[in-house]
Amino acid sequence: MIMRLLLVLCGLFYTSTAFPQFNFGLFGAIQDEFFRLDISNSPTTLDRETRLTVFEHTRIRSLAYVPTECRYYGIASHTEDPVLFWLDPDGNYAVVNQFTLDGVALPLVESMAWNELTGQLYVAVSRNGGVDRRDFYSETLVTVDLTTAECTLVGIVDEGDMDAMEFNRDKLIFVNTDGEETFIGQIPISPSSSGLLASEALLRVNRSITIIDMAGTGEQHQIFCTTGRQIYRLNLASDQPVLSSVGATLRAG
Amino acid sequence: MLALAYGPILEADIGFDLEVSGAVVSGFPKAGCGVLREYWWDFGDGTTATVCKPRHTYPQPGTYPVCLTLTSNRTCAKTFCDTIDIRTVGSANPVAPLTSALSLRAYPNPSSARFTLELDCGEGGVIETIEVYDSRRGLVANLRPVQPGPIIDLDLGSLAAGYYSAVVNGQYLVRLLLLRQ
Repeated sequence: MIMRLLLVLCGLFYTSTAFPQFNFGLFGAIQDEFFRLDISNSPTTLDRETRLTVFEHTRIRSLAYVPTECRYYGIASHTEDPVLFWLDPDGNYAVVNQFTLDGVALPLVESMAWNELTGQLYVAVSRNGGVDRRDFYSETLVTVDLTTAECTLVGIVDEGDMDAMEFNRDKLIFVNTDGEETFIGQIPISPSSSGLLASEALLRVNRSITIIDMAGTGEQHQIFCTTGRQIYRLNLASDQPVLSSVGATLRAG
Repeated sequence: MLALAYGPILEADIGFDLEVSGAVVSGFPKAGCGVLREYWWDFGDGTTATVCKPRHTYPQPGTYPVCLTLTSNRTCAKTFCDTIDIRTVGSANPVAPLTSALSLRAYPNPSSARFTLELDCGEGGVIETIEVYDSRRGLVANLRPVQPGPIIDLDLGSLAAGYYSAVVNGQYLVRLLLLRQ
């Protein structure tokens, strides 16, 4: 049981020569615990930064750093009624509100990513899904007001689901794990994006790699992905994107 | 389940360390130096520095507040402060450790007046400050180029012949030999 917990609740702490310790780093959440991640170790390790008991037994589905606010924003949800919250590097936090679109609470909110070019936090949501309907597909891309959690429709993604996402400059990189494979695609995003958002396939990998969140590093064309047990590096620098394992994760303490 | 983000890691205990040698104080962020962080040191005597690891000489004894403000991404700042007690002044030839002279070149060296200082710290750094020390008299020149750049001309024509130490950005050291023709 302990081993299983170790395997399931794993993470890491990041440093590199390009981004020395305490500048920028990978930051992760498992339920109510928040960690710094270090992938320079093997296996990678994590150090607990803080624990927010308000999120006990709550699933943190996605995190994104919003530099204009100096805060991490996240999606917290039990099963439904996902809420937007923020946490700053000093450990202060607040629950903003339940995600809404056109005044209606959103039943399923899966992933989020900050776009520095548009200055917006983008979120993948389902307008009609949820556990009751057995619909777990976040096909709708919205932006979210950071003070109210009210969302504004951007468009519908042709792939039908975005389990994880991150921006690579003006491209939304997203993951759809469905059927027999994990699909990684990209969609150009601008302030005028709307309607049906056509995606371009970047990579198709074995479904055993179930990516649940992504984090851009500030270095262009490089995105870290987590499956929970494993950290991967998605390198988009060439025409042939490469997804490579950084290593298994190990929970510290 | 592990949600993931990439952002600044600012902890309450990062702060800075100070090394004091006479009136010369060297500051070191505990977190080290990095390309995405901006540094603002305030030495409490009207002197400030924007390099990661500055070196400052106090002109007068006294107790001074020293503060370091770390800024990430131009928006998120955090300030740490400490006090320092300076009891003696006038010491001063810079002492090790400073960053390897390999990062800073001076040519021609020796020279009768003008040296070219070239900084290559691998991070696109520029020369913002130049302190020139005489082994006997201490700090003899404290210069701030009008247009900071990686290559700066340094004119020591007004100084007497001899050995000098140039400290760039409070961090990089090179020895200079000034000759008289």
